[in-house]
Amino acid sequence: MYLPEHNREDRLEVQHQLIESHPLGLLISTKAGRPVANAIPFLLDRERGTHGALLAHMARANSQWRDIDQQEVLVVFQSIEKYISPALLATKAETGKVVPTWNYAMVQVVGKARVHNDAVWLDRQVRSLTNHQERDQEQPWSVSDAPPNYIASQLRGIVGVEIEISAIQGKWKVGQDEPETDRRSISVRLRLSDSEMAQLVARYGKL
Amino acid sequence: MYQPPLHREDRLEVKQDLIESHPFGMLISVGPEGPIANTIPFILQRSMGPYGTLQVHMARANTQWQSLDGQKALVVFQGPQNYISPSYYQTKRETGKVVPTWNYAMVQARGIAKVHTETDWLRKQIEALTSWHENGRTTPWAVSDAPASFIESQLKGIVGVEIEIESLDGKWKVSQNRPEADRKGVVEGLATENPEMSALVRKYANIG
Repeated sequence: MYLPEHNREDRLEVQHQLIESHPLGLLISTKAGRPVANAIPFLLDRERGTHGALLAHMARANSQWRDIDQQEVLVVFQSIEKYISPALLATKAETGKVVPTWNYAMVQVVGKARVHNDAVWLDRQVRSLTNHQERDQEQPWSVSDAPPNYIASQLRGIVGVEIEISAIQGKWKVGQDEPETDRRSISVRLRLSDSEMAQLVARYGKL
Repeated sequence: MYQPPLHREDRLEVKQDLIESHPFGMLISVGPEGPIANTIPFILQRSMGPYGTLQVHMARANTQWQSLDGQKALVVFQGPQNYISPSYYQTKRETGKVVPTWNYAMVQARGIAKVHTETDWLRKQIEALTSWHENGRTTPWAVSDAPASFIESQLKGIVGVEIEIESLDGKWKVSQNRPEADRKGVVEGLATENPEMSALVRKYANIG
């Protein structure tokens, strides 16, 4: 991805946090020279390798898994995004030298995919993913709440994918290249309509 | 994309509506070293070609355009999405035969990319994109509000891309495979947390 220096977020723990808070990634591979993309939820294993590993599963009927075993794939995780009107920029009133832009935060991961078919791996994957997604529920649902033979039949319908991350890049395009007065005005003027983006602009704008 | 018939959305205007309400798309192409993906805001010309035409610009310093002209490109537009806990389902309380899933709505557009560097095309693109986003604001900003020489210099820093859509797939994975009571549970469960997804589940379930 296009990554200007001022938008780089190189801290692994910050990149990992984005993956965990926005785990529906876009798995992108190529087939006969054309890109194929499917959205699936990923689980991050922070401890594996130097950058961590991504664990996922997809429907067996989804043919993407047939093309990716031992192949390099790209996975994109997208966080919040927002159109930034010149009306949010203090400079507009001063010199008028402003244009609209879009703010966003995104992580892109590259790694070799490995396809898993064995029931033990899949069973562990769906349990870990479920526990992770249910962690904030009042009464977390767990895989063992369902009848074992039902789960066993569900597992036959899915295929696992494991991606050890070989490269990871974070792009936080949140106004870092704007003058301080604009960073301030964006964060103040977005406070009500998009508090999450307002906070990112303030944090990365060192306000 | 994997697209079970149950989740197919074939109505052109519904797919075009998603592009316009979630215009920050992901442009995916295959470069010399594998797939390249960048997110950029698109505008849709609904009546150019059978499915419409996507128009966009990117920084000239973004190298994706260099391997793009005349090549096949994929653009992914993502609508609302949400984790669906089995706790929402009536079936959980009846038979327990439930598993979690993820709901989402997504459109994938494919076509041949054409790169534009002409100033006139770029100017028209940014004017159309700007008015699309500024219309509806109390005091809409227009490109002509900025000094002309400033806009001239900005135009030198961007490159345009146009993709006439050859195929447009819509996937609305919004609980259509669940019994009515479960869909109702999802509608209620997400009503506060994610009203957009709640409304989609309600609409595709045909429940009042």
